[in-house]
Amino acid sequence: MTEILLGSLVIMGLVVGLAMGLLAFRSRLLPSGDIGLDVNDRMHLRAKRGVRLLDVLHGFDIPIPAACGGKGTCGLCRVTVLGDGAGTPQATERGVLSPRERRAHVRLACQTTLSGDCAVWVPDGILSAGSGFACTVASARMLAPLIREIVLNMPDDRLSTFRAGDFMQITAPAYRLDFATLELPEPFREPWEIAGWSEMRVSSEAAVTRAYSLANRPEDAGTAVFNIRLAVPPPGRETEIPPGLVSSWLFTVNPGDSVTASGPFGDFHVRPGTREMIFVGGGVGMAPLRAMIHQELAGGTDRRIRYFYGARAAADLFYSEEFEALARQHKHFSWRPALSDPAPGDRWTGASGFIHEILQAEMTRHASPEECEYYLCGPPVMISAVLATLQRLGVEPDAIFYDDFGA
Amino acid sequence: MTDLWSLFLSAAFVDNMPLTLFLGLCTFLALSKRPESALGLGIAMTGVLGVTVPLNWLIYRGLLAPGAWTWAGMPELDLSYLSLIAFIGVIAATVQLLEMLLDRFFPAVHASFGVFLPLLTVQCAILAGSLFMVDRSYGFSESVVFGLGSGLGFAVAVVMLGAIRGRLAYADLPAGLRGLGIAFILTGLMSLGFASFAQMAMSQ
Repeated sequence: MTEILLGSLVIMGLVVGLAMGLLAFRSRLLPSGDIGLDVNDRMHLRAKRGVRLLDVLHGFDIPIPAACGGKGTCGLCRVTVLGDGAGTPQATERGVLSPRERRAHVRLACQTTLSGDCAVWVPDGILSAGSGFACTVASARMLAPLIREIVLNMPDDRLSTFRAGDFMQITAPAYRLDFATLELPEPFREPWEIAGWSEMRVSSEAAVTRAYSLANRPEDAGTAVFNIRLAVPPPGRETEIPPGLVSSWLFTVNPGDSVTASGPFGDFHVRPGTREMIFVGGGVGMAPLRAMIHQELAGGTDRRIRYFYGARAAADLFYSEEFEALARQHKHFSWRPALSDPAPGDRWTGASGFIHEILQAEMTRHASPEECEYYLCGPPVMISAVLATLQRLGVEPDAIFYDDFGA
Repeated sequence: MTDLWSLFLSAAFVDNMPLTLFLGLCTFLALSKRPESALGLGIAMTGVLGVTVPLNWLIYRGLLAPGAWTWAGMPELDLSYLSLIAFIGVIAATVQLLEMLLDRFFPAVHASFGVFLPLLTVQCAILAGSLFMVDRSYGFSESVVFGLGSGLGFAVAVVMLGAIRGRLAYADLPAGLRGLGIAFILTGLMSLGFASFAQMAMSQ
């Protein structure tokens, strides 16, 4: 009996002693004081040691974009960090940053943990963009079963026109949503019922921010136009994986509601020049390409423009009349929609197939596909298929510009 | 003094942990890809073994060994069945301490260890150091020398393997042997070499 008692006491004493010793060392060794952070040599911040740089910047209302939510995959939160306090780049960053960027001390803010004083440079536009501001919803309408167009009225003190290709960040507050309560227009109810999306539920405990490209035409000045695709889980896994937190919320907003947005940001822009421009889009990759094409045509460009756009069925094809009208107005613009899986009722007479196949078929007849500039925006699968096609056509990578939704 | 010196030599070379006793091979192979990380592992092993073996000696002799409680009037009390759990606790705490020290003063070394530093907690060579110490009934000074010696032996072996593997980056190996395959062969050849130390010990 004494053996058991004493044994237990010895082990307990040992473990408690070791834990106390470790705690004492920990408080000695790991300093917990604040660290200093200089932003663009203008702002001087204090932050807790051991926190992520992205959280610090967001905490001080510096809206560094982070489309992936700080997981180190989108590469949008690039900042230049000098000073020992930032440590060495993580393995996650080495995959995203080029060797040249790494030599220039570029880091991903979401992967950088601060352990000492350092100096940070963020793009000036971001520093002056300030924090999110409230906009009111001017209109909202469904374009396709999963795509909703939302138009926000910009406040008077904000930029009323954007550079085509820019994106803004939208913050959804904490909310709860049962998709059965969503009111859908008649033509889209059937696909929702077949896919079972109405049975989804989603709840979000905190404010979440995501990036959305602007689809503004020149005549949309004063507003911000977004094409929001509801990020639905893969079929059959509706109960395990929640749908997109911000896109779900944006399906609930109605005209007159207030939405918090920040920006604009972006580096996906049309390059000046005279080369022919080929736009390839899929899904809501429509948004930035629509803005670019409208802006280019309204600016009176004489560059030849082709727009390849891929959708699954006719119901998923939107803004189609608009581009048909543009093609009639402008001889040097052509609109090439293609359906990968046209429904029997669609009476589709246009091209069918994946958009990279349509692109390849047309561009192999082109005199010099390598002389064109390519602007791609769409889901990652489409981007990689199109990149492979362009490589076969002999297009150099520096003539291809793309936005793969930060995936 | 000469006894301690010969104990040190035999712990480092004759009874070399990875190459003669084949203990701690997982970290030995995993962290020997480059000489720098191998050196870091060697230093860490020497530090952990040098601290845990004497510390465990104190705990074993003072609390667990048969007869340790004679002063309290319980000469027949034997808590040595607790030695495994006590040793592992001490090793875990020491590794944690080492991790904090490295993080504070050598962040680059800390980053190169990655997950292998916490894994030292369950490194068989480290636990074996404490178990051999009990098994061979070393005294306190002997346990210090044994801990440091076997740690240093591990360091020498892993740095050597790291240096060879660094060189092999330029060798044209058959595809199937690249990486761990050639590392196993190298370990075998090196352990043959270390077997000659055992011959020297016997012929003395």
